[in-house]
This record gives sequence, C-alpha cells and structure tokens, in this order.
Amino acid sequence: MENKQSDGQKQTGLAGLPTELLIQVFSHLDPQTLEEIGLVCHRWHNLIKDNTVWYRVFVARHPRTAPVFSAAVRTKSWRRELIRRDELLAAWNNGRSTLRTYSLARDLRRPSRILADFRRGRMLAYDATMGGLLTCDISSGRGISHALCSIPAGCTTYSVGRHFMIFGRWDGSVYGSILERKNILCAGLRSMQTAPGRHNSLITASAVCRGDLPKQGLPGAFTGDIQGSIHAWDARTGECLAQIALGGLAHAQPARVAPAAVLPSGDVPPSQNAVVRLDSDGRRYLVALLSSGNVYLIENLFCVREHTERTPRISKIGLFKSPGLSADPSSWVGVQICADYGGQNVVVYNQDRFEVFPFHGESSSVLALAPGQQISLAALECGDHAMVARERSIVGGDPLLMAVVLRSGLVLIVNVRAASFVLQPLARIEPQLLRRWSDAQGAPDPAAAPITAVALTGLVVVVGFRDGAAEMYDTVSGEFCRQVSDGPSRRMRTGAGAGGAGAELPVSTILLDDQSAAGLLELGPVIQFFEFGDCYSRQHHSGHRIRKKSRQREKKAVDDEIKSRVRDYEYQEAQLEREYDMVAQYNGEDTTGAEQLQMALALSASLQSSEQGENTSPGGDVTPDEMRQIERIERTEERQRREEAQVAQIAQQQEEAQACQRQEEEDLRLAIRLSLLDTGAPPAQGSSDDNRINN
Amino acid sequence: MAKERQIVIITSDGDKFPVERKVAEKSILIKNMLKNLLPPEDEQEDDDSDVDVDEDDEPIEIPTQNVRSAVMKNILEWCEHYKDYEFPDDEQDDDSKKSAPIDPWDSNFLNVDQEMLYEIILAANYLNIKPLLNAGCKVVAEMIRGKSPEEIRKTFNIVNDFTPEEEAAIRRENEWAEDR
Repeated sequence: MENKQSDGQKQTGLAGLPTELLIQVFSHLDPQTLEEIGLVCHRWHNLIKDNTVWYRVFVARHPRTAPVFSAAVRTKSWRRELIRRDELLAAWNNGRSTLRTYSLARDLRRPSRILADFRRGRMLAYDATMGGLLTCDISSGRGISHALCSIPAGCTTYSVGRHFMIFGRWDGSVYGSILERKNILCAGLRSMQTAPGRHNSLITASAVCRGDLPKQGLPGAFTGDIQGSIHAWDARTGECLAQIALGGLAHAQPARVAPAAVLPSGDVPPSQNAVVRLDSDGRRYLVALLSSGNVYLIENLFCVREHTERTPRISKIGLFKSPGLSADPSSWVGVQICADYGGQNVVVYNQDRFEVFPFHGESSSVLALAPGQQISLAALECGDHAMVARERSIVGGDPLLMAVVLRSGLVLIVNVRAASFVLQPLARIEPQLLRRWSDAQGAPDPAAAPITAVALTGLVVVVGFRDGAAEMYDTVSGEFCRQVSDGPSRRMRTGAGAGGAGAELPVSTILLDDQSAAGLLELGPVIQFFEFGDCYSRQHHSGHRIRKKSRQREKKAVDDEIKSRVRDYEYQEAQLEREYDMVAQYNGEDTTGAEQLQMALALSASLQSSEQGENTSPGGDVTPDEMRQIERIERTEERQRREEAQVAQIAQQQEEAQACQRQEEEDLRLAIRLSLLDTGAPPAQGSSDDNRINN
Repeated sequence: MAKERQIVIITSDGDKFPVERKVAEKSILIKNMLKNLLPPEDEQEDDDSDVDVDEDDEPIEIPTQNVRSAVMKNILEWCEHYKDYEFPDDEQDDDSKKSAPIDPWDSNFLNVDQEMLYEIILAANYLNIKPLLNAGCKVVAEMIRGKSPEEIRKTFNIVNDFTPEEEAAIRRENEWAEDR
C-alpha cells in the first residue's frame, strides 16, 4: 500500500507525513472520523482501505489487547472490530447508566435458575423450592407469565433449558415439560417413561440441550443414572431415543432396535459409574462425567437424516482426579463442567483443580494455582461464544475466556483454548470492594467468600458481592471500570422477605449481553437490570423529550383542573338559581313593583277576558298564557344579565388561576434548574458535545 | 567522570546546543548513543557516530543531520520542561492514555504553524521521543477530528485528487459499510 501512494501527487506539510506517523495520528481519531477521512485524497483512502493499517491503528489504540483477545465482532476486518469495540467500550465505560430494580417476590421465593434472552428482551426464572416458573420482560419485570411447575416428589436432579425442563427421580422415572412458546408459559409436566426407555435406578444427572428446541426425532434432553446409563429424550414427544451405557459396556443400543435396558457389566461396582454431569450442545456432542472421574465424549447422536441408525460413538477424553472425590456421586457436588463446543474442549473444575480436556487431543491443560489457593466459582464468556466453531483467522485469534474466582477474591481471566500444558491467566483482577469488605469485616470469613457471582464478555467482567453490590472491570487490562450497583434498596430487601431489612441479598447470578452494554443481576427474588447508554446524545434527547412531555402533561392537568372547577361552579350557580326561581315563583315575594303592576294588570285583564266570555278575539288583549310568557322572557333576561355577571366573574377567576399557574410554572422551572445544578447532571450543552466527541 | 562530560547537539545547520545529560536523554536515540559511548570501559571510538572522545574533558558532540536549529530549539525546550518527569514505560501505555486529553502545556507548546509542527513530529520520531511524538499526533488528530473531508483538505492544503464519480463511489461504499 505504500507503493500506491506514489500514484498521487507528492503532498507537503502535515498531510505528507510518512505512513507510520499518519497511522499514529489516525489512532487518536474516533471511528466516525476515520470513516470520513477516506474521502480526503487517494493516499488516505488507500490507507483506510487497508486491513493492516487498521490493524496498526487498533494496536496503537489498544496496545494491551493484542495478540489474544476475545473479539467484539466475529470478523476478519480490524476496522469493524475497532469500531464496534470502541462503541461498546465507550458504552460500558462512559455510557449513561440505567438501573432498574424489580422484585419477583410475589411469584417466586428465590430463583434457582435464571435464563435471559437479551435479543427478545425476555427472562425466564425457575424456583425449584416452590416449583414456580416465570417469564417476564427483562428490563422492567412487567408482562409476567407465571406457571406452577412443581417438582415431582423424590426428584434427584433437574435441568432447565430455554425451551425445555427435565426432572429425574430416585426411582428412575423422568418427567419433562416444554416451557415457553411465544412469551407464554405452557408448563405441563409430562411423564417420559414410555416403555423401553425407563431408567432402572436413581437418576443422578440431567441436561437439556442448549439452543433451540430440536425437531421431533432428535434428542432434546439427556438423563444419566447411578449405573452409568444415559438416555436421550425427544423433548417434543417424550420418547426415549437412545440409551448409552457407559458402565463398562463400550457401546450403546438405539432404543428402537433393542428396547431392553442395558445393565452395567458386573466387574465394576455400579456406583463407580454414576453419571454425575452431562452437557450437550444439541448439535454434535454430548459430554458426560462419571464418578470414576472419566470424561466421555459421545458423538453421532444428532444425525438429522431419517432412517439412519444412530450409533453413538463414545470416546474417553480424560480423567479428572482431585482429592476428596470418590465413587460416591454425592462427593461430586462441587464439580462443574463447562463445555466449549466451538473450541472442542471441556472444562472440569472443582475447588482444587481446573482442568481443560480437549475433545481430540492427548494432553489436558491445568490452571496453575498457588498452594492454598482455591477456586470458589468460574464462568464462561457470556453469549453463545462457546457454541460457535472456532475460527482462528478472525481478529484476536478467537479465544474462549473464562473468569475463575479464587476464594481469596482474586479473579483470573483464562483462555481455555490456549492448549498449553499449564494455563496462564491473561489478566488478574483484584476487586476494589474486596478491600472495603475486609476493612469492614475484619478478617474475611473463609467459609463465606465475598464474591458470589461473576460473568464476563470479551470486554468487561462483572463481579457480584455478598452484600449485593456489583463492580465492573476491563477484561483485557483488569482495571476497574465502574460500579454497576450498590445493591438493592432497603425497601426492596424488606419486600423480598429475606428476613428483615438487615439481611443480605447476595448477587447470585449475573448475566451479560455480549452484543450491547446491558446485563442482569439476580439477588434472590430481586432482579436488577442495568444498561449503559451506547449513544449518549440519543439518551440525552429522549430524556429531554420526556421532560418536555411531562411538562406539557402537567400543564394540561392544571388546565383540566381549572376547567372542571369552573364547570362545577357554573353548575352550582345554575342549580342555586333554579331553586331560587322556584321559591320566588312559589311565594311571589321577590317580584319588583313593575312586575307586581304587570301581574295586577294581567290579572285584571284575565278577569276582563273571563267576564267577556268566550268571544274574545285572539288578536285582542293579553291572555294569561301570554302574560306568563312575558314574565318568563323577562325572567330569562334577568337570568342572562346575572349570567353575564357570572361569566365576567369566572373570567376574572380564570385569569387569576392562569397567573397562579404561570407562577407555578416559573417555580417549577426554577426548581428543575436548581436540581440540575445540584446533581451536576447533564444538560449543559458543552458537556454533551464533549461526550459525543469522546464517544 | 563520565557524568561530568558535557553534551553538545549539533543541528543540520551547524548550530551547537550544549545540554544537560538528563535533558538529552529524553531522546531514546541519544540515550542509547550515550549508553554506548559513556561507560568508562568503553575505549574505542564508535565509527557510526561522528563523536570525538579524545579526552574526557572534551564535550560529546551529537550530530542530528535531520533537524534544523529552529526545530531543535523547540524540542530542547520541551525536553527541558519534562526533564524531571518520568514518562511511564511504553509497554504500559494503556488504552486510557490514548483517550486522555492532551496536556495543556503540550497543547500550548505545539501551538505553532503547520510546517513547524510537521518538523517537530518528524524530529520527535527520528530522535525517538515517544511522549512528544504522541502529543504531536494528538494535536494533528485534533485538527482532523469532526471535520468534513473538504475542511480537512483546506486545513492541510491537500489537493482533492478524486473525480466526482470516484468520490460518490467511495461515499456509497462507506454507507454500505455503515449498514453492516
């Protein structure tokens, strides 16, 4: 590309800086300007078109990021990565924060599993103790659809997926339920013990395939029993599709061909082969961990074509050994597996050991832990990063990051795809709140780890604490970004019924959206949804509009109030007048002299007419009817006069009210201005401009 | 002792600038040069650098062929200002520093005409003075930021070598890229 620049004419001055230096200049620019400057001249255009130039801009901008990092966009274009990364980082770091707290306490006591779909804006929570299942809008907690999905008695294991839920009982029976269809819960528990596929012993593990509900005829969930037999279930029909026996037998029999249950071979005690963990992507693989420590990979289960015999291919990919683990499945409670289907690895960890087994490889990788260090929890990168096949050519080399929280509170960022014998952490984070924590509590209680939840994307790590607070750190540099939440308010705590206002609500789950700057904190029944504005100006505008709207609404309310009062007043006046008229008519006391005269005249006239008999000409004198009409006319005239006076009075009142309202508005405006000054919050024009530039 | 020896920088037009070692060492180029020259056990003369080390009392002369006196004066002023300030290591230069606003003193210092700024940036690059180079690039970036291509051309006296068709094509390309 340097050759191309000779095409253009020789430039002088600053524009003629050598390419290296121009790139340095460009690295200080925001992505929007970078897009524009391709239009300046041929030389700059050629620079901007070149991916390697963008790479150099990227490196100059994010010097610590390379070479291995988790890309914000899965792309080979450094330009796209740089733009998206900068946008997201700006939102995470400087975006205006929105934190919405809502409580699910009315329907759930404590969600034991929570799944979020940020794209559709829905959230699914399951409470295993109450058997409550709930889905609602993720950002506000509105639109709740609640269903009771009680756990069958004697349930030993359950697993909740996005669309399906499966329970296994001690006696080998399996229940399943399809969960959600178009935002409405339909949780009807169904027994899945169709004749051939019944486990004949205690079920110790279950798994629901990730991703969408598979088509009919494909496995959607798996259960494994204490004897090492794994059954694959069709989530739609409840049929058992395949049985795989890992207890000594190295083959499996498709249910349709040989319906007989497979028994473990006699030479190994059955409990040695209890299936303790299962995991599947629903597309290619099933990973199983047995209480013997063996990790198995089962392939060829998800053949899409009809009438092809599914013969599962089973391979042993590793042996997980750690002190304290025995053949007894209950000793494996603390062991977790995280499968990385894209990178074809499976991570198995407990408090003492963190090991990565490749699907097709010789040696496993172990995370180096100093003596005395213990793992308290770990989390894979959010999003479906682990499900997409690894592509080494995309920017950053497509690693899969995992945050490992040590009991001391240190957070390590590890690339599980590193494939080295000993895994070295890419970054170490020492959460700031930890210090406050240890200051406040004296020596940290070893039993209660201060960090209770962690989640990460390629850009940020969010760490949740026992007291409900959450902090955000940069994944790459490990530096502190911002405080996400201070924990729920006292009112929320009390409302959550967590045993009084003083009770702690630890952050138990954190979910992050890898496509935007949003996430979710789960603290028992209290959910906190947070979002960081990706575009400051838009947020600002909408805020302005809302404020304007609210002011209009207020004004309208005041107007309506005045109108309704005037109407009331008029009505009351009219009512009074009517009564008054009626009374006056009845006892004739309020008549003036002229009226009395008229009445007397009318009376005499009527007497005359009656004397004259029936032959009175119609055009002649005034009849009593006419007399009454005249009176009525005069009275209406009188009423009109009075009404006019009233209208004048009302107008005066209205004027007064308007003046009053104007005064109120002035006060309101002043108050708003004062409050803005106090909070030091937004809308100074200059600051918003600055922010726009920074973004 | 080696520390006592004076350092003289000779510019392309032959002017001599005597400087303190601390000031001169702001330039990594000169620092490395001095590292080779000054250790006491260093006896032989370095052929590449036309520096005379006949006697210990003789000042070390450092020629800088690419830098004019006027530019060197500015650069030494900058070095003088920052002589007691330790810049963080280059490797530790993190993302936050990239987005940090330019130091007001630097901004004032670099408030010169474009030709001078151009030469300062080139000289800083040649002498390997990273913070100065960085500041210079930032100043140039500030000149570009938020401007339309036409304004940028005007600012830098760039001739528009696009035909209108080409320009329209690139614009379309950009718009398409925005949508991705």
